[in-house]
Amino acid sequence: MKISREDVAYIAKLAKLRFSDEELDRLTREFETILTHFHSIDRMDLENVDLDKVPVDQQSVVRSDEKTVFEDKKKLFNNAKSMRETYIQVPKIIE
Amino acid sequence: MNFETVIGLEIHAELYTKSKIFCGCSTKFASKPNENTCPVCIGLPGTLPVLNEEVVRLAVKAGTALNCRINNVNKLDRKNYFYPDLPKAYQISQYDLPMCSGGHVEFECEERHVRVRINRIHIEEDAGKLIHLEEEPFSLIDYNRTGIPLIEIVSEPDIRSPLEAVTYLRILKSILEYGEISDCRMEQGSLRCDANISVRPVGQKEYGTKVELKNINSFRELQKALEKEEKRQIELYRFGEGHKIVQETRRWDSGKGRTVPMRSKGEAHDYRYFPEPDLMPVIIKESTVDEIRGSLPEMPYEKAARFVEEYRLGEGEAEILVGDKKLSEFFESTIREGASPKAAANWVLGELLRIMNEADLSSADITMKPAYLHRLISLVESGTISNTAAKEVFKEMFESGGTPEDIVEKKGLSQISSKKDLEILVKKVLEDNPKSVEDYRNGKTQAAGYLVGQVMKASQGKANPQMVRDLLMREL
Repeated sequence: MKISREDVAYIAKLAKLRFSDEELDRLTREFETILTHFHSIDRMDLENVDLDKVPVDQQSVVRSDEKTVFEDKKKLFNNAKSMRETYIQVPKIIE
Repeated sequence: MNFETVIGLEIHAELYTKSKIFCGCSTKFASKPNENTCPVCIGLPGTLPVLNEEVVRLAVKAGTALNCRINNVNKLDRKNYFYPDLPKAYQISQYDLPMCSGGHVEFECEERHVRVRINRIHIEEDAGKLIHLEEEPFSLIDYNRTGIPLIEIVSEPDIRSPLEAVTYLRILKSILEYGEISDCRMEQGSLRCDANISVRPVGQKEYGTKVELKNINSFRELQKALEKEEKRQIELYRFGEGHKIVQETRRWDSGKGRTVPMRSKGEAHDYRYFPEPDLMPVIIKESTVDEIRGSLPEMPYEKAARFVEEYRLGEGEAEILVGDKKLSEFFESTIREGASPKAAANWVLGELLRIMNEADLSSADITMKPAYLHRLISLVESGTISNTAAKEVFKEMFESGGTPEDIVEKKGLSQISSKKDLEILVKKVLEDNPKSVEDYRNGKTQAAGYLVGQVMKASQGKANPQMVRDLLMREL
């Protein structure tokens, strides 16, 4: 067992998600399968892999520092439930 | 029992780029709310970040300027948390492989040689700005700041007093300004500072429980917040209530002049960092690092040494000038216009700083032309105006930006240096004060002072005092 039901419940809490008992059981099994898969990747021997020699096509793609403007602001904020002038309005949450 | 204070600073600086870190939106300050946003920076599903190469350049520049090692392979990670200022619910930052590691800054403070080690410098995206409405149960979100590139500079706990912390921040700020890495406008939030502070009995090796202070927006506030927190912790230890110091984040309330708890360790965040799957590792070639290191402009400590050498300034004077890049540039331009370094330094460090302090202005607000200051200095040196009058002209020049000649003319401040005009005045005063003349001739030399005063009065203060004295002596 790489992951317990409590781990899953804790991660759900961090992600602000709520699950039923059955869902938690199912997620625990699914997490376990995923982690087993990664565990087998972890066992690969990478001793001789030099990160400095990352193939060119696997390096970060960068852009030059140039400004662009996204014009369709109306569409951009289509999903916002409430706007006040150009601000997005949300319930007050003070951390 | 004596206590020792231990401080470490985390400094966030917005980088000097035209566009954001992962999209092309403008980084312009004070734009209309949500004006500089696009699907990438407001985190719409399906968008992909593309790293701005200038961000890499500037972060490497900061690393080389602060004596760091540049990590040729570094990567970006996701820091997960839920808050409305972060539309993706994660911030792209760097976790275990930052861009730069292990630098240092050195300076003198109250006769202690301070060496502050820098743990790391990493790049990350800034979050949006929330405005909490006072009277209504709402917060307003402006995502213009979301995705503005930042570097976070994390120091080791090598600072031992609030004053050292302020000095360290000042030096760091000037290095970032000189390197044109960040504009460091603290009042606009482009340079922000969090402080970790703990106290321990002198001689104790282990650190005391540290408290993190947030929301510090100026040098003055940094010093005040640290002094207040230092006092709070020492008093708790002294009263045997050291257990009341808990590892927590406290917010500095500048209005109330005290720190208030934000969240304690019990509810500390678990950010679940993991490598950013949308971005490949950043590879920085050694040749690029060398090229950036070679292109670093003159750093403040180098400029200070040059000012002492070239302009014969005192070390203290050079430090004040260099501590403010724009001020030092104004000073040098005035010299380039032809003013003597000594006179230029006197005016800049004297009247200019005094006026700026009084009006609470920064050097960015100086509109006066260096050429005008040089011309004002020439007017004093040629005796056209007195020193006192020059100060008046200077103030007017600072406020209105007018030329010194126009202001002298307008205010009628020029000294009477014409020999003919002065002779008339001197003769009249001598005629009107026969008693003083006699006193003087009988050996009462102080009578001369009185006579000079009378001439000055007759000229309404415009006479050149040295010439008046010379003329009087001749007549007497």
